[in-house]
Amino acid sequence: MRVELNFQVQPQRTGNFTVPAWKVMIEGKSYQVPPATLQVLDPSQQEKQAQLDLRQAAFLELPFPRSYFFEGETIMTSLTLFIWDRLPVNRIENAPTKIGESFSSNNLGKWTEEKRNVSRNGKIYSTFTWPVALTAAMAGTKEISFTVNLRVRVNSRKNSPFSSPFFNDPFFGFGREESLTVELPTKSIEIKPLPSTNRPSDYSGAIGSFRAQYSVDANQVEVGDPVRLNFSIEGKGNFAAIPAPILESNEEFKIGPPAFLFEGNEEIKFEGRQNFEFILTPQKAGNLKITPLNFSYFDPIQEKYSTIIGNEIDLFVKPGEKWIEPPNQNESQDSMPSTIAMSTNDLFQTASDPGIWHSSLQPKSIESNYWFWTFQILPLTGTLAFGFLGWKRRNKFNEDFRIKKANLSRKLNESADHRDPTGFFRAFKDLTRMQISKKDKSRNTFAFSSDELITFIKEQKFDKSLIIEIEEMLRLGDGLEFAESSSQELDFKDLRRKVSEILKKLS
Amino acid sequence: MRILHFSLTCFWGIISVPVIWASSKEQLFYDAVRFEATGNIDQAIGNYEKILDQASSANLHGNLANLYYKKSDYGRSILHYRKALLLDGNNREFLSNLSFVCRTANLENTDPLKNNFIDGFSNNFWKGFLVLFLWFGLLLISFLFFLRTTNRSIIFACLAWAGGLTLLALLVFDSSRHQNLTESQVIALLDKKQGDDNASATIPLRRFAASSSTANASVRAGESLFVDQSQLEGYQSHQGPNSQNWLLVRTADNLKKGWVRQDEVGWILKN
Repeated sequence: MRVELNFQVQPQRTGNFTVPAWKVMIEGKSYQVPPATLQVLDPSQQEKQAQLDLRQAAFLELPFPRSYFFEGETIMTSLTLFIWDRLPVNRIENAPTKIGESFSSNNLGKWTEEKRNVSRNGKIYSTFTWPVALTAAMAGTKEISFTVNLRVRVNSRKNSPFSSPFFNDPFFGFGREESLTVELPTKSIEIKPLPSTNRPSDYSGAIGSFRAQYSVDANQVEVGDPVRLNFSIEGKGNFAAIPAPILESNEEFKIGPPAFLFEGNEEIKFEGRQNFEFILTPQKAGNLKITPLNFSYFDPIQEKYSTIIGNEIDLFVKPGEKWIEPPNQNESQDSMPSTIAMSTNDLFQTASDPGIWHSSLQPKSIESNYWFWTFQILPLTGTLAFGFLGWKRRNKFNEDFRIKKANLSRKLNESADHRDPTGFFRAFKDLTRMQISKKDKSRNTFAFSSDELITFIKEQKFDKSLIIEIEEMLRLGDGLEFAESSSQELDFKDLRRKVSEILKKLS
Repeated sequence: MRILHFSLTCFWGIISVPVIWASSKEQLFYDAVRFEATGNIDQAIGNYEKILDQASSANLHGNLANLYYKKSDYGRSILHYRKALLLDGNNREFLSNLSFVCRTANLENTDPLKNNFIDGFSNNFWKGFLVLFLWFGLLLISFLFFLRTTNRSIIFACLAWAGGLTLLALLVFDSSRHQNLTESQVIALLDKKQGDDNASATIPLRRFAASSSTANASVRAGESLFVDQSQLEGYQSHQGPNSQNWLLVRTADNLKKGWVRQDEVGWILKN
């Protein structure tokens, strides 16, 4: 149980005063209260003192182990919040927040260390400490600061918690809460670039002080059985930035990607052991040698590069079970080459990587694929286009043909009515040319002479009587036109009937 | 400022990769390989089975089949090799391993469906081929029509096209029927509790869907069975009083038929 007795004093003049020791009786027992000193200042001095008190009421401290760092180096330090015992703090609102982006730091959660009655500047403080791992991102002179908010109780009558009677009676009365921001004064530090001289070719960014170990789980396995290779780095440094060493598959080993296992504070990753586990699957039998792994790092204290050279590890791989492929029953024994009668395969080899992932074993139907339907738009368009253009082209040809035929038929009839034999036979010849043009579109029948026309008709295997009739008509027409034969005895009615029959047969 | 942002992003990227990695199926896979490397077969199997709830891969089923073989659980080994081959049908390692396990388990042919030309190509291949042929034919015919070739040529092209389409449609139909059969295919499995020492034990095909029922016949672990299709929808199944699911199965040659518990078989096409 705790009981607090508060006394209020009002100074009448400036100076140093001592409240003498006095006794208090509690349940019959006497207790001695120690003397207390009180400094009464002049009002101008009082303001200065209040400002000083305010600065010293709560502050942050971040010590650096060295005056400069290297680019990429992780340094371990601690951020301490000092809170004067007389400051009526209810709680720390949030974890300290980093200001500036020149450094990266770990997440600061709840403080890890809490101390009471720490004396500083003649005052008594409570301290709260967070471990901080800072990594410098770029070379140059960089600044860093932290800020944290405290929840303090202030007197309701006052607007600000820092005005004069702020500390007079902080634990009494019905106060209200206000947020007080405590900021670490900006600190500048020089970040040096890593030296480029004597940098090992396999250096991959490790900065610190390390030891490395290299081991395998077994030294005798069968072909296809996985073996665990563990490469561990122990010490202090920027573990978070150390990539896994490169170990690639070769004809002797199939090597999977490494697993990262850190033993130590996972949040800070500054001190501990980083394990890289590789799974090696031997591909052939025999006494195989595992390629040694070297590890290079930069020591920021000694300011030089170092390389830890790994040893070669022997692994005896026994041949596993083999599958002898039986000879094909359908092939005759004679046809098989005697030297390669059957092939063999090593069995039960473990795959060290998962390969392509599938969400389901059920084959996805092609119809459910968007591209399956999209792709079909192309041939559909092509088919429709060809069909439409073809239809249009054919219609035009047929229409021309029909008009031409109608004109020629009309001319034939008119020539018969007017007893014009030349016109009649010309129309007949043109109609015949038109009709047979359908038989072979590759030849221009419209340019045929009567003889060529007859030869062509004979080639087309028409009825002989029809060929004779056509020939007769054509000769008659040519006779009238070129030999000027007499047309007096021509019976146009009969001719018209014959022509009509011939054209009908030709079509 | 941009360079600074980039550097910080890269730095945090490097830090956060292992965190994201830790919960992924890849991590489970690599852990399983590690467990196998340290001789912890059961834990390796457990990890692989956990991944199967999310996804599967040919190598995952292959590794799982290897482990089941090492535990003399030939049924599950065959089942997983079959699954692996579904995803990577040309993998000679899986084919050799499957043949070896079948021979060890005294099983002659584990895939009774794998014997004809159609199997060489998937159902999707035949469907795709049919569509290609359909459009190629239509394009050709419309092009001939456009060129004003003789009707005889067009009719001939149409007949050839229709003939080809009919043939391909038959192939698609047969391939779909075959796919449906694969979907109904299961592999007989021994109860895990029966242990490694009981490799010669058999799975009874019961007369009725009840544990107390006598068996019509029995099959060895690893044998292929087909679940009968229901006349209504789905498969011939029955739910027992203690929520046990029963399936009516038969062998490929239809000589053996009976009821099995769902946990006595493993579906090839389902995880």
